[in-house]
Amino acid sequence: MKRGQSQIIIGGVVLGAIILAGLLSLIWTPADPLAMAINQRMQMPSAGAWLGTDHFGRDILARLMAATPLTLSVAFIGVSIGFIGGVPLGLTAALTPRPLIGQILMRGGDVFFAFPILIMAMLITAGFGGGAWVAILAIGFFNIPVFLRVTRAGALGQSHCTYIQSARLAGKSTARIAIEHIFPNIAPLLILQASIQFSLGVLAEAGLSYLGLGASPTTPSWGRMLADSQTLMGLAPHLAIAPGVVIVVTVLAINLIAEGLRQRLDPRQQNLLGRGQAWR
Amino acid sequence: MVRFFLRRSCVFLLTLFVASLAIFAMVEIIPGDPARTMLGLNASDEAVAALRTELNLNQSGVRRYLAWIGGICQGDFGLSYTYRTPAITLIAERLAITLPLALYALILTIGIALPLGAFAGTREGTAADRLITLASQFGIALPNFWFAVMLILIFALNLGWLPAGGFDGWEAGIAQGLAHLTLPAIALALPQASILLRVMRGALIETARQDYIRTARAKGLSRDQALWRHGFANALIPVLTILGMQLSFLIAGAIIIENVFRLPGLGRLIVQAINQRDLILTEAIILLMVALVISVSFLTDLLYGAIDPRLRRQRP
Repeated sequence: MKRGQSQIIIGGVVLGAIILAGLLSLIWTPADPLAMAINQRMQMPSAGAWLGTDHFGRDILARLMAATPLTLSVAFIGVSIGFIGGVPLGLTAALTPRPLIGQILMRGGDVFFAFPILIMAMLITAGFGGGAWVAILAIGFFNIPVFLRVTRAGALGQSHCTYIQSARLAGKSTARIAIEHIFPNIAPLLILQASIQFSLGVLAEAGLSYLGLGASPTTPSWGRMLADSQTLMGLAPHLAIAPGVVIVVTVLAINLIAEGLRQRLDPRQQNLLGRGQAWR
Repeated sequence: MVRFFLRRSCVFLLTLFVASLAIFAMVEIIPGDPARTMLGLNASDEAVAALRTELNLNQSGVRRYLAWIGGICQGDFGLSYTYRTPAITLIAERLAITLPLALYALILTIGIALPLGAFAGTREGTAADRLITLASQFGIALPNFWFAVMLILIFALNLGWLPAGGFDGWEAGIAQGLAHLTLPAIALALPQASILLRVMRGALIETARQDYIRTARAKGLSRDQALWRHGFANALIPVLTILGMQLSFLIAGAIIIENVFRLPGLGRLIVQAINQRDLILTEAIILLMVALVISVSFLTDLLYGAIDPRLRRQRP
């Protein structure tokens, strides 16, 4: 087996199962995730409710499943915004014949980078009010400079290769070279970065909804379930465990895929993952 | 070195300026009428008009920004609308908890990550190394707020060793204050330490492959001697970069952790300010945090220039 393949397979299977459970929740859940039953509240796990019920008697497993599409799509759309915004800017910064434009793009990226996701989300909420889209935008804005930097570094590395020089000699425009030659060559690097950012995005979404800056309070979300359970910790400690475990397993699965991708990409760069992770 | 310093300082000030402009525009200009936002939809027109006058909203955006930033340069962050107290006073009170918490967490992060990272990095591939690496994978995946809840469950509710939350103020004694900050600091530090540990380990492994280590070994040093005398300092460079980033993210992470532990720090204050639509206070805290992130990265930059002369040249 190739280096890193086992990690990708294991991570992929776990993440796939989580995605499937999320998709399943769109048509079927073991119970109605929103139905309250006050006389059934804070039940321990049983045959009727596999993971027990919360403080309103709602089925925890059903709520966890129902929350999955939201969390994953918020993280995914957020990272996609960062990718779509950051990659062209990074290519421009690396290939522009005018150093001033490159400088402006990099400095602009630095300004964005000074706003951690949480603070960005608070800024948007203060000005425009809350909602799931706040989390998407905050994750997106934060990721633009991340992809800008990675793309620029990757493209600069490629731009001195002979195949790029011969493409230039053949008369191709810079834009065509960027799209046809450089982008495909740095794509694996970008996919690796995207997977790292995706796992950070899941953590960020959970954190934002924990603080009440994500989806509305009635929508099931992992972070919100955790926040609700905390007030009842003395009475029903088991409520806090399930949402956290789901978040940890999801993030671990994505990290495992990223680790596998990294090993296939460059077995020597042991600390690349560590660097990506610090950009929380 | 002087030119490097001047150039970096200019970039630093420019970044601060643009960031402050972005914050002001996001909160006060783009959304429309801040007075309406602060008072809510049910407020009477007279109340809104009165607040508009109080906040000078009838002036142009540029003049308001200049007045705002000019005030901040003189230490005046405006008057909190809900508390009717200068924002700077509120912030200073809360910093007395947030700064010690971040510092405590930073010390724990370094204290855990560097020794373990060095231990694993000098024993690449052994069982101990694998165990530490695996544990750090879990540490990275751990959402710090969930970890915090688990810590409360185990060490506060079940074992009763440490308080579950709250803060009685430093007047109650330093030992008691630290006891209240211990679980929050651990919750903040462990995920960050997992990241730093991996960087430390990776940097040491990378350093061990360098030619100068081989030279040192050829001169008769053992592997460990060569690493400790020549490798360790070099391995610290990437560790410093990450640490610089982490200090600012510890401050931001403290927002969530303070809310988990009900600590009356800056993080609690900003969540309250947002919920009460106190835009003046929100703006002030966000600016402070962003300025902190920018300052730390400026200082790391300068530190590099001092350590490594090659980095003083203009970036390519």
